[in-house]
Amino acid sequence: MVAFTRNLDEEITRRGWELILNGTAVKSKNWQLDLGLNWSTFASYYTKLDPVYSAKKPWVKVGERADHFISRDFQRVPAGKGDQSGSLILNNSGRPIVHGYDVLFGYYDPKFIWGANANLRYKNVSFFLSFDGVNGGLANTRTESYMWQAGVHPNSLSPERALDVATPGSNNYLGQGVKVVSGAATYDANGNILTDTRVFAPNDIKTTYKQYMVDLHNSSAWGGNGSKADTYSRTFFKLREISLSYNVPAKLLHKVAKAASISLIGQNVLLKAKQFKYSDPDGGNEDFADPSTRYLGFKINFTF
Amino acid sequence: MKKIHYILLATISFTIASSCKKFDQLNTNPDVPTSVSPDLLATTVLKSTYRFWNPNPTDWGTAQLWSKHCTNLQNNPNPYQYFSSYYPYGGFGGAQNITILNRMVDFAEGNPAKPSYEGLRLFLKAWYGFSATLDMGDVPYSEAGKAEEGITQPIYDKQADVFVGVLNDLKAAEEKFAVGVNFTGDIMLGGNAAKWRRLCNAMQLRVLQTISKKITPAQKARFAEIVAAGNLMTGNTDNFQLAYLDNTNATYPFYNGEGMRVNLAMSKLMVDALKNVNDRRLFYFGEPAAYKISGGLLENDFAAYEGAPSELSPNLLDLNRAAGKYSLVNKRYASSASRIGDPYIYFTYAEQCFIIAEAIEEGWVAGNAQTYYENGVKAMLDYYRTLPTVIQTNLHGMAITQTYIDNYFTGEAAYKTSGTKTERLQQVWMQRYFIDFFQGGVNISFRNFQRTGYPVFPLDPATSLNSGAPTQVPKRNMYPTDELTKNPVNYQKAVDEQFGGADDVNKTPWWLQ
Repeated sequence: MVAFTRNLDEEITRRGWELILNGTAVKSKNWQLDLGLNWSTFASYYTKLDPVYSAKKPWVKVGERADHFISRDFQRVPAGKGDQSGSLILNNSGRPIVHGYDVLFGYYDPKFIWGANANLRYKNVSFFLSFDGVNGGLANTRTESYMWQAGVHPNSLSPERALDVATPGSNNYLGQGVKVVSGAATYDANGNILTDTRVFAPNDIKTTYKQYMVDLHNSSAWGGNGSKADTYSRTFFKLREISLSYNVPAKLLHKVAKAASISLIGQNVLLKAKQFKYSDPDGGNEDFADPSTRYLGFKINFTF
Repeated sequence: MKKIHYILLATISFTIASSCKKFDQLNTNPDVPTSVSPDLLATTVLKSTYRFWNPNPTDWGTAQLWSKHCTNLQNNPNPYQYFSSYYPYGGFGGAQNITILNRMVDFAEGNPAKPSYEGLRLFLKAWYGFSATLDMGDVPYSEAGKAEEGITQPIYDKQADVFVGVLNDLKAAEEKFAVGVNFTGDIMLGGNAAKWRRLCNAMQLRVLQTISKKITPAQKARFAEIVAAGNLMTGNTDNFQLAYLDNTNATYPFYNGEGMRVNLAMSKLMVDALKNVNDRRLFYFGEPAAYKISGGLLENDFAAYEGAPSELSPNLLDLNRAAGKYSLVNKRYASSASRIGDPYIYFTYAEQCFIIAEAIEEGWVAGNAQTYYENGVKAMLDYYRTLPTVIQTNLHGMAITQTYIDNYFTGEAAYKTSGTKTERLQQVWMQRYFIDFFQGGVNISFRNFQRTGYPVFPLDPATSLNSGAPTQVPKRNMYPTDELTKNPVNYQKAVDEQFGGADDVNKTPWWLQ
């Protein structure tokens, strides 16, 4: 077979700052408090483009971020149409329409990530806490997308759904948006509007609740970014670890072991996320990630 | 110490210098062949061209929706059913094969079958160009597949020129096969050069008829010339088709597809048209509707069959499915007993007959249209009568027999010699439409619909998902998005010249204007 390989002259630079503070706040014979704090921010930027082979997209420019989150939005009324601007455009059966072109939703990388830990010791007993978190950045939630599509999302219980089920074949859900009364629009290769003669009116066509939700939360487990409705902020913080340890004094060991300790350890004890609820955003992109798993344990450690 | 450093430095420089010279040799993996026999490349390319893109029951079922042969009854079916595609883009993948085909011909040097391999290369290049231009409009053809010559950004030829190029290459291919040396590695026609020669001629007829709206007098004369020369397909043994094997890599795509079959009905268009001519293929293609059987009708009764309207909303189709109102596709397709299903048909002798029948009606060539119509229908009926993959117990007691074929042409099936030309053409077109039932979305049915408007594909603006123009069927696919990066100048020029700058599925390409 014949394959051609070419190195691009494209250059992406990752820039960022990291701040680390570590210190001992209190130290005496019986007491010791160690504190640690770190904070960092970073992002990738295009610093050079290949004149021929770099992607020709509006978001690929020198100085722009390279971690773009691209997907298909729904068709919406363009700016300059008064109150209607930004509304969803619904089709002849009252269903949202996915736009045929990729648009920039935002960026994958967070604004910053942070971590903090503290270790307090009194005599032989230590208490350790570690928090960390992410602020900003986008991620899809495949799990919730599929929960909506399968009708098992807790929020999917609605009066319209009950009506649809009560009378099979009836349509009871009125989507919020507009319909096209007349006219058409044409687009260039990047999806920018070239001509637009459309006239809109508020939507008055009902569809089934299921159909509308399936359209709104459509995504494919086979890849690609999903719907805007399932694009969440990655912001969260976690109590990553909490532990209580007791160092057994050497005189109690009777030379059986050099050292010994007993600890109670909890990992992933607490998770607060801005938008993620049914899965753990910790992995960055959520493609059927499990819900956050909490570990609680007990550890006995001997050193011989 | 210093001396040692110099020696080390010298050794290193020497190593670098000498390894640079042998860079190519060092990067040649001795365990991988650098040359192969042409038959292996022929098989590879034929397989990649004619194998169904993703052989599984779901995708095979979906392929039946666009051309309205079948209707999906799931309450959230593929939007394809309503003229919307998840991915409304064409592709230039075929052109990549041209490079491999060049190697095939290179490695055939000294092989007596070299002319046949050259013919195959020409035929496939024409096949790719024909498919791509129908799919998108202007496409690279004269400069396609020339990356090795340094053309990585080929110009887009005007669609009219692409058709001319395709026809010329098919003619050249025919001349290569006419030398008549059989070749190996052919999974389609068993390497029979004579069959390939006939196919190259029939293919030219298909291409010429496809551009019937734009055809020039010289091209019509060419059509007549090919028919008169007579090197055309002679029967079902010449059919261009991909047969399946009892092999997990060459299995019928709908093998074990019962899970998909229970949601896949024959379309109302298809069932009504078959009933209209008392065509027993209905019993080969479908199952009776459950509610008709429970209502007392027998499975060998045409009245027990009911197609699903493909334009109905998914919600209602699903409800009617649950009520057993539709004829699902025949159980034999989804069999798990054998991996060998019906062959994937690309070009049949019957289609060739219908192409010529239409041309006679249009006055392109002299002849008896009725004979060609009847020969085409008989060939297709005989195809099913003798098809070894048909399971006799799944034919609802209505197997096609020779007597049935002999008496087929009565009533609506009789050629309407005293009717209008349009009526006769519609008879021909409908029979041509039947050929593609439960095939891999061959697209010929769709292209014929685009060209002739018949059979009319049902469309309800209320359920159409062609959001740009809900009252019409999309006319083309968009160009692959990476063209914007890989070949931006030529891409933009093609879009500007054809469609006023908007690469849109509802714009009309040249051949349909």
